[in-house]
Amino acid sequence: MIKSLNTAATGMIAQQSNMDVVANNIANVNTTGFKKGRAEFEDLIYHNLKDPGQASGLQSVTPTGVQTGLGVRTAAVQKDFSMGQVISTKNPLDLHIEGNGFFQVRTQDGEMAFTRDGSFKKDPSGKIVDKNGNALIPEITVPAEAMSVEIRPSGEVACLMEANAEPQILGQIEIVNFINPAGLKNTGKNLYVSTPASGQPTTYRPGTSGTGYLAQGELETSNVNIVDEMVNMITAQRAYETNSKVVQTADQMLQTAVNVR
Amino acid sequence: MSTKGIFTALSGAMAQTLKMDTIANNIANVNTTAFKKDQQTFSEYLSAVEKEQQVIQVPRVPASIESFYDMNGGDKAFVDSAGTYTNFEQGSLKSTGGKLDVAIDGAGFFEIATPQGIKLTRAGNFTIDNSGQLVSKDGHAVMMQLPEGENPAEISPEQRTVRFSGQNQVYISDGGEVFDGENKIGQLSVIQVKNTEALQKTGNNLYDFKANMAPEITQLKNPSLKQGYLETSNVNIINEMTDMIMSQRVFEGTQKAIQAYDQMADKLINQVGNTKG
Repeated sequence: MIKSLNTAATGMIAQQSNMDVVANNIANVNTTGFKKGRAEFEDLIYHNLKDPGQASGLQSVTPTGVQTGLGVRTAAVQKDFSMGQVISTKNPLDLHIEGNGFFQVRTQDGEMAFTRDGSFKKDPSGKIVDKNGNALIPEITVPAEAMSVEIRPSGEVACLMEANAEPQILGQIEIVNFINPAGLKNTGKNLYVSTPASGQPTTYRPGTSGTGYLAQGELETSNVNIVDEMVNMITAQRAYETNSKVVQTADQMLQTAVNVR
Repeated sequence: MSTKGIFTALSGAMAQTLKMDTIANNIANVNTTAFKKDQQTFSEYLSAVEKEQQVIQVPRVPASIESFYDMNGGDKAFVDSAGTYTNFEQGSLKSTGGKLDVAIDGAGFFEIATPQGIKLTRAGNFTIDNSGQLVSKDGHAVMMQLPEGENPAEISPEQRTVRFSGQNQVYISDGGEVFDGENKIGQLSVIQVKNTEALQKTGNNLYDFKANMAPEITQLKNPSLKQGYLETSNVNIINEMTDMIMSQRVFEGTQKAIQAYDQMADKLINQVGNTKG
């Protein structure tokens, strides 16, 4: 009975973390380049009360053992890197990776971070930076007198200085990929950092080795599907309620046992 | 009068406790990928089975009081938990769209190489680790079938793991073939166990073979898989809630029986045995 109380408690905790993941997905339904998470569960170890093959009498053995499980735990929160929708913004520094890959930026503390949010800006010196002022790597500086900036699908950045002049090449945007993108760690602000699980980043020219081409003037929206999340939320809530009923029932059974005398 | 029946009632209460623990575990795992529900079965435990076989005593007189009390051990009957049976019924499939999510449609298990040897699972929520290997959620490698015509003794388990280059799109076909871009790496090993009662749960969605039962294993040459789907738990909340109510009421019933025996003993000691009258 005490076991079933604890078992139901593990079930409630698991549904709570399920709910937390769903809440974060729904909160980020309009976040550029956001990738949804999914909580995954697995059963805990089993308590073997009677091993199979144990004698149950003089001439008989039990054909199957008796075991009870001890509950559930959250095994992983799997990130889903499927593509989000595309919106056209016409902003020359809004970029969308049409496939796999991440932009790399250098954060204020000098660390490398990775993002799929391609809404870049210019800082006062003309350097291309993300919303939080982290420089896009390799660094590209747009001259102040440039008339327009063109970013080609293969990542070449060019600018037009005068109306009839040849475009001037400013640099090359490189994107990185990981052997296991799901192993990246979220650090907030739409940034990921690499971990031992994700592997080391490998740098590619956009469009090569399975990475996507760049599209200028477009942004990738969140890949959260509200209908899916609502269904997950309902499932999580009902499963939570059912587990709480188990706690109540176990409690009532304990009460009955206590009231025998 | 004897009050030893109180222990029979107690065994019933303990059996219901065990059943309740199993129901709690089933309900806790209602959202666990490919979880299979457990059922406890109970049997009557007669103390007669502990006795040597004897010559059957033919009653000399029909239906006498003497033959009535010859209960052949039935006077000491308890409820005994006979076994935990895992119900391997197919769980429904849920679309996830994940490239590395595979559900087995029908019978069969994936082979997973854990540090404790090869174990089985039906949870196909695989992922890739930092070396490009296809692994389960706990980071254990997923095994492929032996290549055609190879001697099993010459193939090390490492050669049966799935390794991606990380530069191409990965794909798993409905027949279990694993592709890294255009290249076919191999076929996922899906094995069928005829006598599923030889399997034992070890937690983490894994199954192992019971030590003293011979499993009948066959390799499925063309397994029926569904990519982008996961098998959900086969726990049915309505069944579990009904079982839980039943279990609770039977438990209350056994408690009433214990109370009744207690009151009988009370009468016997304090009223029948009262010499002061």
